[in-house]
Order: sequence, then C-alpha cells, then structure tokens
Amino acid sequence: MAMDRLGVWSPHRDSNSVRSFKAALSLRPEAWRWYDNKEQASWWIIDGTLTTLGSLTDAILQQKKHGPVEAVLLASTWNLIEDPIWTYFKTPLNVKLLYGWIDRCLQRDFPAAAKASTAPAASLQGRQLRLKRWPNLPPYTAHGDPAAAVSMTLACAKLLEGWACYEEAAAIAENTVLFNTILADAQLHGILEISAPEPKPEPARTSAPGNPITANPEKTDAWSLVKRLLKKFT
Amino acid sequence: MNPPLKVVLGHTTSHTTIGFDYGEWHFSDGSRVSLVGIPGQERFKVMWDVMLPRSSAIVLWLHGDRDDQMAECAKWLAALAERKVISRLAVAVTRVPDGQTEQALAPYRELISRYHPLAPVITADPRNKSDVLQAILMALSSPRHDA
Repeated sequence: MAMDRLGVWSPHRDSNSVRSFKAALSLRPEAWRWYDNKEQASWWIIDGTLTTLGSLTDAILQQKKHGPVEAVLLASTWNLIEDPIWTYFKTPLNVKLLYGWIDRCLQRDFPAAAKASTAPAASLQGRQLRLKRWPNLPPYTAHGDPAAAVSMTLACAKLLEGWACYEEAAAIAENTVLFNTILADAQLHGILEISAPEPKPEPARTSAPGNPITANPEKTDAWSLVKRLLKKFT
Repeated sequence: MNPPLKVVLGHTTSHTTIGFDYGEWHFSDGSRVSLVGIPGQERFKVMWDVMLPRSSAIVLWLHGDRDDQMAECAKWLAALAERKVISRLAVAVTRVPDGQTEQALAPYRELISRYHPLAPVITADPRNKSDVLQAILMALSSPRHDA
C-alpha cells in the first residue's frame, strides 16, 4: 500500500491533544490528509496518555522499511519513551516548536525543493500543471530585476488560469531555474497540481488560457497593462 | 489622451492622520498608470467610493504584527465586496516574522478565500520597490473571480 508523505494517522483522533495537533496542522500550507489506515500515513500521532508504545514502536520500525515515518508522542512527560524513534511534544502543544520541527522534517524529506534551483524539473517536463493558489512570489523576485518579476508573475498567472504544459509556462517565465524553484516549493506546499502524462485539460476557470486578452474585456486592460509594465522595465 | 489606468493601494491605517498618495507611470505611447494610495480611516469612505470602482487593481496592505489585523482585513474585504471590486484584489502583509511566512499568511488566505479563492496573498515590504511592483503585478494578472 502506497504511503502518503503528507498522510497522517492517529488511533486517538478524539483526544484533546491529537485534536490540537490536527488544528495546528490545518493552519499550515501543506495539504495534510488523515487516514484510517496507518500503512498509508507517514506521520503517526499518538496520545501517550491513552496507550503504551511497545507494539507501536515495532510497527513504526516495520513501516520505515517502506519510507520515512515521523512518530509523534503527545504527553505531559517524556518518561514513556523507550525508543529514540519517537519525537516527543509536551502537552499542551507549543505550536512554534511543532512548526519548526515539521519544517525541518519536510526540508529533509523533500530535497527536490532545494535541488530545483540547479537541476531541471525533469519530472515536470511534458506534464500539465495547475496552481491552486498564488505562491508567495516576493521572496523569489525581491533581488532580481523587475522584468524577471513580471515574467514570473505571468507564468504563475498562466498556471492559475487553468491547466498548462510545463514548457509553455517555463517559456513565459524565461528564468527556468527560478521558475523550477517556485514550482518545487509549490509542490511542497501542496498547491501545484500535476496531471498524468496524457491528461485531459479541464476548461479554464475564467478566460481561455491561450487567449486571455480577448476573452474578457475587463481582463484586456489588466493584461495590456502588464505587457506595458514588462516593456517599461525591460 | 485616454484616462489613466488606476491601481489603488489601500492601507489599513486607522489612527494616524494622513492624506492620500498619488503617482503616475508614463509610457511612451502616451498612456499612463495611476497609483493611488487611499487612507484607511472611516471618514475617507467617500474616497473609497470614488476610487475603488474605477481601479484596475487593488492592493490591500496589512500589518502582520497587529492583533486586530484579521478584523481589519475582514472589514476591508466586506468593503471591497460591497463595492464589487474584490476580484481585482491582492493582499500584501508586511511585518511578518522571518521563517514563519506560510503560517502567518494561512489565516489571511482562509479568510480571503471566502470572497476570492485565487486572490494573491503575499508578504511584502511597502518600503521595497520590487515588493510593491510584485504586489501590483499579481493584482493585475490574477484570474478574476466573481464574488
């Protein structure tokens, strides 16, 4: 059974500490999914007041043979821990500590995001992509030239309009290294949809992707303005 | 000469007495882009009524370090929705702690998605020229959504 790297499982979903954990996760940008079957989840959340860890420790060691597993123990004391496989969080949860730990785990387990700046996104070539929402672009474009910011914005807008092939968007972006980094981070945050190799493109959400300028009179002004800005800064 | 395209930059200042900012970009073909900074005080509502419906894009600036910012954000979203201009919106949050960007933006995204799921929500520093340009570009090029 395939493991979901953003899949979460807990045998104690109704406990206060696990519910707090779930609430904290829901405020993060990643698309976390909760499973009833622990074999599908990479994040196991245990309320230490409701169970002993012995059999779970064995199960985690077994599961780790199929991929990375983060074992989280929520309890008021760490005395229960018998094996370093567990990560302990004192209850009530300190969300800042929790987020810092999750960030480190994700950075460790998604090296693609770090490598994307130097390697082409081979897995995306020939694929149809769509963004669920805007990435936070300023950190990527703050130190570049304004023309790059314009190109990157237009490339992302293309992927927000509807399905578009990677090559088409990358051509708009021009700086493919930076664009690959943005896409890798978007994938990490669960906001990039990637189609199967031979997809059926869905209709665009608004105007036709290939002809956004003529499809909507109001849009015409905005796109022509963006084009003029592009000319002004190049 | 054609009337200028307008980009409205709204900020949620509610206490300081301010005027309003205005600037223009001129292009070689004679066209112009106006940048209008409108004040957040309630007493300037008449300006909101005049400027917002005429805008091509709107950037709402919020202070990420204030306790009341979600309420401020909700107030502005309601005001923009009432004036039927929310589809042209980008939200720029400033003063966000380093390393907590995504967490800090999450509640804004959740709130704004009720009005416009594709509205850009970004971190930006209004003192930084490239951040301002980026916010304006995103507001202009974001897919429209009928709230």
